[in-house]
Amino acid sequence: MQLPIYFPLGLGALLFGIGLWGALTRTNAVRILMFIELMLNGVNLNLMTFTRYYYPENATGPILTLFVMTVAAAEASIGLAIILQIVRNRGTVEVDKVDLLKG
Amino acid sequence: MPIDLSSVNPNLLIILPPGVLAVFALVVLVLDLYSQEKRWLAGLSLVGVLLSLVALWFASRPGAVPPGDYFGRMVTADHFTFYMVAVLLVAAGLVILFSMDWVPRRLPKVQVEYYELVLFATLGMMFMAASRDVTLIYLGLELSSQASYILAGLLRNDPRSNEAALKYFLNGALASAVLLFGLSILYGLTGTTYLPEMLVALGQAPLPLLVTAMVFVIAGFGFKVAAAPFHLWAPDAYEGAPTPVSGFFSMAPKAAAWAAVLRVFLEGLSIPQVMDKWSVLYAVLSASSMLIGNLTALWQTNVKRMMAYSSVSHAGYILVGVAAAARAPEVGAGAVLFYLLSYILTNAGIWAALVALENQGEGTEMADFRGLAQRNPALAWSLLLLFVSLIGIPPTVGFFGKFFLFRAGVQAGYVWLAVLMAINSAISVGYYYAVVRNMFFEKTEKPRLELGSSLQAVVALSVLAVLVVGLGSSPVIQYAEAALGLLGR
Amino acid sequence: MHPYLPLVIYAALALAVPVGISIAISLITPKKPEPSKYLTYESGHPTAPMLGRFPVKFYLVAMLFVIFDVEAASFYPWAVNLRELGVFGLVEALVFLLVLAVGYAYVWKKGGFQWR
Repeated sequence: MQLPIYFPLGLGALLFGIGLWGALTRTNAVRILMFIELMLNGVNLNLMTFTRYYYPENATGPILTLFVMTVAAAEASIGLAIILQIVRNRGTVEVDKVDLLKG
Repeated sequence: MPIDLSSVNPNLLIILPPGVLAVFALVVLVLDLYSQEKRWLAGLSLVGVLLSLVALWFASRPGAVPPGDYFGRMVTADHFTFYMVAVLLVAAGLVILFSMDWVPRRLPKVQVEYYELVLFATLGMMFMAASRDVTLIYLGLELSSQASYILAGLLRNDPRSNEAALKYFLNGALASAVLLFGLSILYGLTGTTYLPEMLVALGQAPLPLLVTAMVFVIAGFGFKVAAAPFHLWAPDAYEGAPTPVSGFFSMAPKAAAWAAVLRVFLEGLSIPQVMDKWSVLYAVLSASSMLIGNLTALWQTNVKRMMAYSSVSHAGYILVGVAAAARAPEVGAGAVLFYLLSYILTNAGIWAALVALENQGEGTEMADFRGLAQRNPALAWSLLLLFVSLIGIPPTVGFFGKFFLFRAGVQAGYVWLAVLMAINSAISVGYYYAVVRNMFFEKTEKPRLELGSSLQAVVALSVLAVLVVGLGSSPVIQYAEAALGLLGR
Repeated sequence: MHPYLPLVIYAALALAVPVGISIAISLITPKKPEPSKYLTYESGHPTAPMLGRFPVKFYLVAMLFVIFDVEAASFYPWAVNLRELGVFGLVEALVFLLVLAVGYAYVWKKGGFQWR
């Protein structure tokens, strides 16, 4: 018996929702980054679910997933590099304490 | 001697412009490792951009590459591609040119990395504009965004630059994830990432899910083009980022994002059931961007920040064209394409002036513009003309850009939006005049402001283009409107 | 049924999840504050004060590993379709490798691999 498609899709939406919630409510930059990665995982789950259930002959879904993963890795390292520089200069990873620019 | 290109594989010809740029980017990267003297590498990057333009000219000649999709339907050859790639390359060339004096002074340790990142970002943007497959549009978007995050933080020991990079990065990454979620639903509904096929398959898709996906895509792109209310990162990123980088942000990445918006919405989501919906959503975004951008810009004391809000309001003007494109595709998209060119040409000169101020060790506050007419009359008058173009007063290119948008809005039945645009152009006089007043009616003791030859070239090119493209706008707008004639067929 | 009803339900659910999590956390969490509960607990051992920070070089190595590791995943689709893609695929893969190699040379030459 196959799992109804609503379960994996719901899980994907849930991951995305939790990620979005966290990214908008947290103030720790590293945590925001982790929540954004969670959102991307929700997207990947969506893509793979659709491929598996509706378009099993289709290669574009998995390829897009692969690209999303690759890009997410690059994104994480760039983000960490930026956060690291903030920590060196300001000694904090809290986004709400990084507030030199205003107006 | 005419060069015969008919025997060349069109597959190779169509990726020649990005290919040339990629090769130059890699070569510059390797040469950086083995060269002590870095300045000539800036010149080499510029040569790469120019050669890429030459390659584009060959590829875009009639008959060289028959219209269609190449490289497994990843790269599209049509007027839209040629026009946008040319615009992006011009923007990249101008940015490299006005950074040449600035970079050795302020970024002595990462000079070549600066040009590298500009080249790679441009490469990503070229693919964004040249593809009608969502996969490649996404990859191009990420390549350009991620290069931009690093560019924003290149002044590593300046906390403001760090902060700009952090805010730009977090917002950008969030936007990408939101956009991707929308795209993943679209893929689920249609089983393809190729926009024309998506369009065909969308007919049977359940409308509510389709609208959900559309809202996510609009929000994701809204962040990227800094349309209100998704614009909150833009002022901070512009103010904190190194000045030439802010100039780059205001010119190239946005133009590429607009190209992607037009592609996705006019080629992929243009079934009648949703067209009206995204048209109205974009009209609302347009109104809020114009109002918020212009009214907030009035209170700014930092010119970089003011230009950021100004760019939010200009995103609002462009959105008039996007909203109109749902009902009058050729006129709407043509107006958007023309406006992108006009905005880039105008902005180049203004940012060159800001870079010139920083080159002499001054800031970019409103007060730093005091008495500029005494210090360098030619620059002050040039800036006056460029601001006139941004406001949209004839005979400058900005006037024609706004006129085409206005016409598109009226033709599409968005008369209220077109009128709002005219009112907002009047509001924008307020903050541009603040700079002009400082330049012409304030006195200063500061010495003459010297521009290096490359900065002079950018300002001169910008002024010349604003007048020439303005007065000779009819072939450009014809090409821009024809660009859409092929798109989606 | 109105066509937008599922969407409304979906939006309501999406809203309910974060709100629910927040409420559930505050409900489930027992509130008996004791000073010992706020002490750091480490497998029953008495905890040592945190000795400095991790050197940044760990992060750098991890970052480089992640990037090159994930790039390698891009070879799988090519490897699976090796026969069908033929020479074209080989050239594509070589171009990809060349770009990776330039990146590798850049990191190497700039001292990214040095364990200072």
